[in-house]
Amino acid sequence: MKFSKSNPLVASARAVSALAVCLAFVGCGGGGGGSGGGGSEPPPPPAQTVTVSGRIAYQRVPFAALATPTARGGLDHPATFEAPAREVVVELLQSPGLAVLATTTTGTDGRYSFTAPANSNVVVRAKALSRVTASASRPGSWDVRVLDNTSGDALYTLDSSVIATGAADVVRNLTAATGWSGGSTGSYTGARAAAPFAILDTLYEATQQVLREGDATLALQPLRAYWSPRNRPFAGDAASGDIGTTLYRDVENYGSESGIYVLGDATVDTDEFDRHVVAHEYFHFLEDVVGREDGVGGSHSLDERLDPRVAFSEGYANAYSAMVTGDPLYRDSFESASGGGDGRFSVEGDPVTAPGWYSEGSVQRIVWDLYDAANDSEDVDDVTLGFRPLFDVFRTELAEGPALTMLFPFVTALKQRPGVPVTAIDARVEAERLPRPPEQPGPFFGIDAARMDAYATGESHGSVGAESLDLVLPVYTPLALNALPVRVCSSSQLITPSGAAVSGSYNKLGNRRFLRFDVPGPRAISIVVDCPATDPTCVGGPVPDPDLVLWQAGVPQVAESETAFTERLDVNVQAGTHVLEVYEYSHVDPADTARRGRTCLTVTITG
Amino acid sequence: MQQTSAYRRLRTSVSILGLVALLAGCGKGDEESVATTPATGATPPPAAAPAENPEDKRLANAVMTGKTAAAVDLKYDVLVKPAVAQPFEIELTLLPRAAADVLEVEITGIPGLTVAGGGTARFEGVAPGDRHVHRVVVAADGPGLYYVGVTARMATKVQTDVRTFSVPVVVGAVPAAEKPAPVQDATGQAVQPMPAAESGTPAEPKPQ
Repeated sequence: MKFSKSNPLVASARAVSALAVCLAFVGCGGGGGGSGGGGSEPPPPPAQTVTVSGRIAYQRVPFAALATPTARGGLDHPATFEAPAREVVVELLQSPGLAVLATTTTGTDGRYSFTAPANSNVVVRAKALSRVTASASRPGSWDVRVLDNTSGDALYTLDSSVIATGAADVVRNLTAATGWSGGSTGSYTGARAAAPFAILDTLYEATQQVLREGDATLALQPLRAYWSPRNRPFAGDAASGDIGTTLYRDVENYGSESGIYVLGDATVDTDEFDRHVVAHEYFHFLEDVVGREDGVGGSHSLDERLDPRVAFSEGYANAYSAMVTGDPLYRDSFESASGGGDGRFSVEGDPVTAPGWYSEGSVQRIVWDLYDAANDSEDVDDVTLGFRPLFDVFRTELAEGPALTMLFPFVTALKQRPGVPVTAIDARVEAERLPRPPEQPGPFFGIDAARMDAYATGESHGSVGAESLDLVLPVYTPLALNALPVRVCSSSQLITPSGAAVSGSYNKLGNRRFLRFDVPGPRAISIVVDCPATDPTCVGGPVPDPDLVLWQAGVPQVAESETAFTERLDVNVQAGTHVLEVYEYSHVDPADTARRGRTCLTVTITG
Repeated sequence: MQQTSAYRRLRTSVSILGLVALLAGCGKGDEESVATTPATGATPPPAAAPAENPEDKRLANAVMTGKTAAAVDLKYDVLVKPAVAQPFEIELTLLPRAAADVLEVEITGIPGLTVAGGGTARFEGVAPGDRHVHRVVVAADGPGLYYVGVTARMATKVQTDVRTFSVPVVVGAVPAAEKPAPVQDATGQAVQPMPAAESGTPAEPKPQ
């Protein structure tokens, strides 16, 4: 039991307990009466209270050990073990009626203890809720809970049977079981009570990590996780379980429905025991409530050329999952008729075939190497920063600056922190590259670290052939107020240095282009993005539909009308540097089957 | 993966498409449309759309965002109107977005829907832009909305990525599903009680 005088939960629990004891005493009328005789001492009075205590635990299923790198892996059910339900809320309930008699919180060993009325019936209820308020000795706070999105967002609880307290102390240990039976070839046959508590414990661990290594005074906003055995990888109505995949929904757009949604469909994919996956999504929660994330989401994998915001967010999230779990091997289990397995990759060791600032794989390798204690010459990793400086940049420069959340402002700000080994950081970042073969001239794979700024001004690596260079570089095109129009081009297809065409839409490199401009003082401005008929890239179909997003220190204003050939935004802006994102809608519309090819947009800002 | 702000038109379209794919009942759909085509020249022609397979146009779209996953998308089509106890085919089209040594696919039924044939497929040496078509035969015991599980596993020498999908299939008239209201605790909060495995003293718990 966690015991703290300053904990209001404990204080209220005590008050309720005392009241319950009084009621019990009055109701039972003292009982007793002598049954003995013979002139001996009178029997002791019956106990008025007893202690109900025990341990709350859940079953965790580990991953199978890998005999070979290509082993199928997956969850190892025969190796299931019990783990304590750490700092979860526990209630003592009256039975019948289930009125709350007392509330407490387990310790980090899962133990709890109540003072309960003697000779009464009670139920112990552990909630899938970890909530700690700040105190002088423990200034951080959090509120994390796991709900059933397919049942009215009900909070998962683990309930004991009815306990007759009698006159003696009671020990009652509760374990949330997986519901699995049949060993390695078995299946889920019982209630999957362990799942919400396993998710909660990973989120708890992530919370402790950020408090321990980042900032012990953090007052984290409440986090809801949603899990159901009906949560399946089909995008639709989350209340029916069609969550699409395990993901995070942000507070701004989803309000009370925001949170981490976790797959649970045992016929295809469960993620409740996949600690890396859950911790990955926790990072997106941190981005949302502590830092900032300017990306657009969408499907992503390690070896794709991605929108650099997506590459940074997802790569960092993978590296963060390794920080939380202490394991650089990211594993994601799946289920199947033949017994399941897992997908996996190492944030430490696995190189990608298209490294660079647009690569999720490169970002995760860089961030992990900046953090971890193990250095290796293969990746030119001679730097160990730990979590604190990374976190400080994450929640200050990256969260507050005008540059979009990409690798560039992160590395640039990190290098400006006092005492950091700039040369070693540059060397590690620039190790994400491919040697340029003589037969493939032009921008190649890599990152320019030594001359990097937040806007990637000096970046010369594009990972594309010369014919696609202007779809990728510069990362930010400069734009001036009341100056000549600027023309930028986008596409849903890139030509690689070897001449192959790689198509991709919505969140891939080259789908959206970025510009930046300075405003000397507050004023009203007009932003116009045209695809003029006089431009040869603006003819043909589908009819061009330019759109734009104005970013002011991470706050977007979207102009996404369906007006053909032009888009306009009239807006008041503050002084400073601002960022503009422009795109042709067919390049980013996930529903389109017909997309324009290279399309060049003309951008002007007046005001 | 975070679904993020700002792109409201996109989000709307995503939601609608997901619903359309489901409600249409004809079971056509896919994930994010991505096509990869071989280079045809040094410079793509202006305003020419990257080549899309015409076959894909008969399929509806649905988009998912999510955890890091294999670079493969899925389109599917239920080739005949499903009927109870009548085996029917689902055509799965797998579209890799990256190269891999092997792409393995496993299809899994759920209670009431049995995979009768074509439960696995394996494609060697996949490349971005490939189209790998696989047909699976399933049969339903009764009317209802079912989800066929599809697991796509892409392996290279250094890593193994997985992406999972659920393919909705409507068989006959779907019975109206009644959702029971969640239990509320004494404070009115909705709770989902789960039974615990118990131990301790006294050892014999009474049933609730």
